[in-house]
Amino acid sequence: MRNYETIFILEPLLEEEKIEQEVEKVKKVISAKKGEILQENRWGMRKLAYAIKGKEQGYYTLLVFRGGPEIPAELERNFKLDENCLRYFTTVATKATMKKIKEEEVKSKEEK
Amino acid sequence: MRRITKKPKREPRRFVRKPRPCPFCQGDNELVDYKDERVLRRYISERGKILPRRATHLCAKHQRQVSKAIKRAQHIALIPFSTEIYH
Repeated sequence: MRNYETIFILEPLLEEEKIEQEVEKVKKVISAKKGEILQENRWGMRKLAYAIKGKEQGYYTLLVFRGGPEIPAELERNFKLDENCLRYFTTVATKATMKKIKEEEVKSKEEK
Repeated sequence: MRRITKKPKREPRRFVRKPRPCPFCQGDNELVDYKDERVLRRYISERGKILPRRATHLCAKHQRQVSKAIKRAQHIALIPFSTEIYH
């Protein structure tokens, strides 16, 4: 079991509903393989640094999760097939990411 | 008898670079993150190239981390691969 993070960019022209569906689809892939989602961070619509498939904008989502090595492989397969996904990137969660999550945990505990 | 007066030899001028500490090594313990566009933009030129160590004043370890982070950030379109400059 390891911590992973995946970031993907969706088509900007999708309706809100469809975006929701797409994100849920990705989350389902993770939970179907017994992955546990640690953080979901929607960056939302952002300007791209360069055009991808002729699009200047994209909807960014960051997911941090914990699970086995078959999850990144399955995600990659899904993203490749998904026409609405402009870009994706999965990696072992960086130290910076894990630090942020820990800080958030501490904060939410303090609030309680 | 002629006195030979020897000119005192001049020390060769040496260029001493002031040591500038690597910002990532300083107290606040900031970690390099490929998602942090704002920080990474400090280390690219206006053309979008990764700046060399002599310009960034980073230590070898953090220069390596930063350059890798920039490449990742380019892939997810947070940072451009290149930009055109108009004259």
